[in-house]
Amino acid sequence: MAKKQSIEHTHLLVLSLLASEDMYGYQMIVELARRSDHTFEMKEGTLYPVLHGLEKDGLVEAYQQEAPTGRMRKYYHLTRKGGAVLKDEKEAWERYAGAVNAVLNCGILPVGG
Amino acid sequence: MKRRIWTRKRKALSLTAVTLVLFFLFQYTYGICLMHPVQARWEAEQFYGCGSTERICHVWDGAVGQHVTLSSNEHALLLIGTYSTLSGWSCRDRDAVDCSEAAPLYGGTLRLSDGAVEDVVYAYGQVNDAAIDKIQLSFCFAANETAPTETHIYLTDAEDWHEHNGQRYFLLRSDALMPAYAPLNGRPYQINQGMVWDCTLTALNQYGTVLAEIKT
Amino acid sequence: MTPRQYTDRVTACLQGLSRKEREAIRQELDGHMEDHICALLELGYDRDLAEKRTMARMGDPEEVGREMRKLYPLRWLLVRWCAMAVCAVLAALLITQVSWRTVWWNLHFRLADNPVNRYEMQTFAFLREHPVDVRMEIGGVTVRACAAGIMKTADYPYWGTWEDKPATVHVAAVTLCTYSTEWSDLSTPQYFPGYFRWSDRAYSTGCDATGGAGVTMIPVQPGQTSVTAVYQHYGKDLTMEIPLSWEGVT
Repeated sequence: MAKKQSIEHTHLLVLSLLASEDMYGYQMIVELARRSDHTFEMKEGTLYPVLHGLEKDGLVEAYQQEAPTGRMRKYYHLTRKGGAVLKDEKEAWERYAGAVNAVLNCGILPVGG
Repeated sequence: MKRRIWTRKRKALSLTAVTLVLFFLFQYTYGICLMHPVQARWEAEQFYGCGSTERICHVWDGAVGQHVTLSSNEHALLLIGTYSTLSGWSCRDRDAVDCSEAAPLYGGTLRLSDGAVEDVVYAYGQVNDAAIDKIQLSFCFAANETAPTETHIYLTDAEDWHEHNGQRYFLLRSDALMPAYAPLNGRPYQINQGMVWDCTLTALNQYGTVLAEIKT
Repeated sequence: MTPRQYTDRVTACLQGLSRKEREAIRQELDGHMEDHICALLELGYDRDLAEKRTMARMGDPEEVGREMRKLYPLRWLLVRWCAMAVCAVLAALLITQVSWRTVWWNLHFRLADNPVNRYEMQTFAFLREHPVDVRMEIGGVTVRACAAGIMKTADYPYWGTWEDKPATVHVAAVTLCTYSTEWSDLSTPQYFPGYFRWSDRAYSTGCDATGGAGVTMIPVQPGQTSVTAVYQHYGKDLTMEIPLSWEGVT
């Protein structure tokens, strides 16, 4: 069984989730696991320092809305600044991933003896 | 219904903005906590309704601890004294003279005080007659009702005046006037600031002939 | 560890946050754990197991608290406290430095229909039934004539004390009050800016009416329908014409 990847670029993943719709914390955990086919499964409590850090930097903003259960839920919304950072980070990641793939594909193993 | 949640930074900056607005509103309404002496001049212009004036001259009077500013426009002369306090700049004494009618001399006097010990009398004015070469300020002063009356006379020459937009202006200062003291429990106790009356400005030509006189 | 214990351990690391901020973080984490537990309950888990599974997924509470604390620097709290202190000082100055009595009179003379209803001298009490409203702005002061009536010159008992008795049989008695022109000057007492030049020589009585208003008497000829005051103010002539009524005057 392949080892589950540890979360890197957590901020990039969270911004990417919020690019499609506003979400609350647990919803992000579920969606992240679903989209990555359970490859990315982080410790759930550690999501919140990431979210609060993004909020502090102005990349996301938060609002409260009543949940179906009647409880007030805190939702996060990607700001324009967050969208611009996401675009830049995504491009940087794609360049990085492309470079890694290019190096890996060059190291082809010899066949036979 | 959505309720936006503000970050700590945003709350702090919003409250600071509200505080600044309240502060300037407070200044505008009550004329205290002024940030700059020019605001005292604007307030005096509004009070007298004389319109916007331009600064002619400005002196620091250490005896009474005030900045004395003379300003004018085509209709008015304004003299104000401003001093700084812990709560900003303040103006206690001010005076204005209407100079919209044609006259050889306009003038006024203003008594400035440090609020405790010393007073000075300033005379100020606009000289429209080219023949006027000197201005004399005279007034009577008594430290209290029973003290002897002193007559104070001060002179200013044209070479000490200020020119602005083709007009001549003067600002003349008396010596410090000391208040009256009486002994109380063996120590001097200030009983009043003294009385000043009969302030007169007299315009003289180079030969000493009186050309105009104003009682202020 | 229960959800409550988890949030207690997180908030114990949040020194430097206000009580409201700590409570908001606690509620957010509580909500998260509750959502996860509900999801597991829907899958058929029992309550205890759902809670246990949820707590296992939450991670180290002290690490969460430490990371959270770094995101709340003290400086913005200090800025907020300074702003609140300044507001408190302004409020204290507002209460102690403002003459509310002056504010009241400024508003009263500006807004009331017939602002003067009490006169020191009974001679002028008839003016209560003769209201007028004529105003003149003189810079930061507005002068308002709020009552005007005709009376017999002889009815005023103090001629000769400061003023000679006028030659006319009748005088117009006009009640004048002042208020600040600008709303921003409500706390500044307003005084009469100087002497007006009336249509004929006027006699100020110094008679105090309500709130410092004063009565001025101007000699009038029979049938005169108004008196006019002129005030020269920095190059402008300001005039105020006050109508007079002879109804009921003998």
